[in-house]
Amino acid sequence: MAILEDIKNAIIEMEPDLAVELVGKAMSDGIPAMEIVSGGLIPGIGVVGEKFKSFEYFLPEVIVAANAFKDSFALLLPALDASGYEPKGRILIGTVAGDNHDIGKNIVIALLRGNGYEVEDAGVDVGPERFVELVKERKPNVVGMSALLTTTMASMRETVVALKSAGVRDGVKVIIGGSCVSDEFSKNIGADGYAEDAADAVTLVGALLGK
Amino acid sequence: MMFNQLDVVSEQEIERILDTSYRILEEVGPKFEWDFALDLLEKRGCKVDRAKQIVSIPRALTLEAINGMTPIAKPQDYPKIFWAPWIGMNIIDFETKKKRRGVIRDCCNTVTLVNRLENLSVSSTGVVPQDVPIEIADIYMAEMLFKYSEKMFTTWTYTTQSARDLIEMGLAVTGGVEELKASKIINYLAEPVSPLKLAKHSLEIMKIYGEMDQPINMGPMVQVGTTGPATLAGAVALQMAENLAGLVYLYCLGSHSPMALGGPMQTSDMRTGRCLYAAPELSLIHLTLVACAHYLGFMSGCTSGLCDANTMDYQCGWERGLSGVLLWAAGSESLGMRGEIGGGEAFSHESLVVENEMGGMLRKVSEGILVNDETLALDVIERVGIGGNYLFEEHTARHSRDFFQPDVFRRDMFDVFWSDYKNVEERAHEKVVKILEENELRLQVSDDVAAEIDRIVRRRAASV
Repeated sequence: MAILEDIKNAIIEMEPDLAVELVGKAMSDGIPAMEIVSGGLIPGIGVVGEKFKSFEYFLPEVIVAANAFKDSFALLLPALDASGYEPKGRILIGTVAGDNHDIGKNIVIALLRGNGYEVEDAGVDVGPERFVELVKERKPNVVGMSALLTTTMASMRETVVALKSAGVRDGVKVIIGGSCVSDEFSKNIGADGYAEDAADAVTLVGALLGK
Repeated sequence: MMFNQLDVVSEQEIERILDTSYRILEEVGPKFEWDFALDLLEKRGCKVDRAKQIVSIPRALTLEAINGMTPIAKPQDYPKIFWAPWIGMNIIDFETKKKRRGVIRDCCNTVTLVNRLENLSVSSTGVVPQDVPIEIADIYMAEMLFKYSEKMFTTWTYTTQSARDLIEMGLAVTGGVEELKASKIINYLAEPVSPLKLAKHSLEIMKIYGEMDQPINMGPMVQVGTTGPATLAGAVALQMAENLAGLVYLYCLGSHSPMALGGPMQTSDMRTGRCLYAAPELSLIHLTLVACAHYLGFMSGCTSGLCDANTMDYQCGWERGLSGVLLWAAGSESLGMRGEIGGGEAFSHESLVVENEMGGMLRKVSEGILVNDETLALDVIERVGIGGNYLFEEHTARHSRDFFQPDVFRRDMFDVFWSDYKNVEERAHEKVVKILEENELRLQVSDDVAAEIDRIVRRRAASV
């Protein structure tokens, strides 16, 4: 369908306004929301992901493309919910308690969205209780925690403990990242994985979710 | 002898950048995440949005603070070297070539090495030890440096309690409050969270050290394209704004802490978002930063001479050389942080040794060229005449030790070099082993002071 091809290209060409306009038109033309997602948005963001891996697209460009995807997806969400749509994966990401650094987290979020995942940004200075609260509310598949400071790494362990105590740990995969943490630390605290950088985070999430 | 410093910006351009910094402080406003700081700044005429913790700092107050605070050192006419080692989480294991987490033994070895490496003027522990409780690793690092460093040092302070503990150690070492204030033995790298956030714990630590007149190096780390604009001038303007936000705060506190304005900016790899330590653009922004700091009368500490290379290869050498020499030529007073490798991923003792050699070469060039009767040597030239040989002259013997002699770098003939080939990392490793075998850490304080430092560490360890 030509309009789906145009939507795909709008994502690839990093044109959020055009993508949203075309999605709106497609909806008005009666094309089902699922078809718009699978025929337009997902293929478009898939091409962006491939171009990013080959360094043809740079990160800021991926972010613009991801915004085009996100804004278009938001338009379709009510219709998708009604049709029982399940996203590729739901990820909840936050910077842990006591830590205000978020640039690494934000890059991970952009790349995950750029790879078609639904990502909730929990923000910074997120305590264990707040992570538990959000897991219960949003039911993510993966919880990602970021920390830059050595003094805030401990909060990652506390969050894993809190998720266990709340009885929700088994329902999520937990991944960590940040300049002070490591694979060894991840194993020590009972997380499911450590991502060295943003691209690694996308690979890790895919592996954990079997995508 | 006079060095003309390398400039990349004109005075008008510096003024325009600083004007933008003043406007950032006034129109965008930094966020101070502590009510005490908000109260303080409001009393001094700043407009404060309590809900958002954002402060609008009037230009007049910024300018008053610039004139009111004392620089750690005034910019000099000629380049000088002021080197300090890196402090990171990981170290490169020479045998396995892999990075592993730092431990106390690595800290001991770093201090031992720096004590003996003649071109490193400032010490550190090189790594954050992770075989101690990570929450108080800074206390163990400070303990080692206070007790065993033969040079002044820099270290991390993670928490307000650690700041208090370091002050207590400093009091034990110096003998009293006035002595500690005069000594300036502790220094704090105050790092805003770019863009434009000053975290509560950092403001609290600045207050603790500020009240004891300990030097404060403002160290924002604006990263071009991620936590700062993707255009270099804007990134520097933002960096200077964050520097000045800290300076204004300390001024309003009434602190007599001497300050440096600078900080380790980074660029981003636009392909991946990764923080870079050695891109050529980084040299441009650090050169501009140094120019801005000097324009305001403050010394500037930047990281330079770093590398993104993951091994000590040609890329590493070139990256270090380009940024290190450019910043040195611009008169940057501080060229940190040595021993870093892999874009900040790890610390290497071998690299520290090689960079000590680099420092030696830069020091030699820093001496400049002396022009006087002895060095013009007209009498020698007349005596040697046409076709003669200067090697036999006493003048040559007298000056034969004026020249830099490398320890790790080799100057062999080609065949000799390859007949006994070791790469530079291997040669550096031999020197590391030699220094560590031949030197032990010796207490630089009395037994009583050491005991007091131990007591402070034990008390803190018991609280974890």
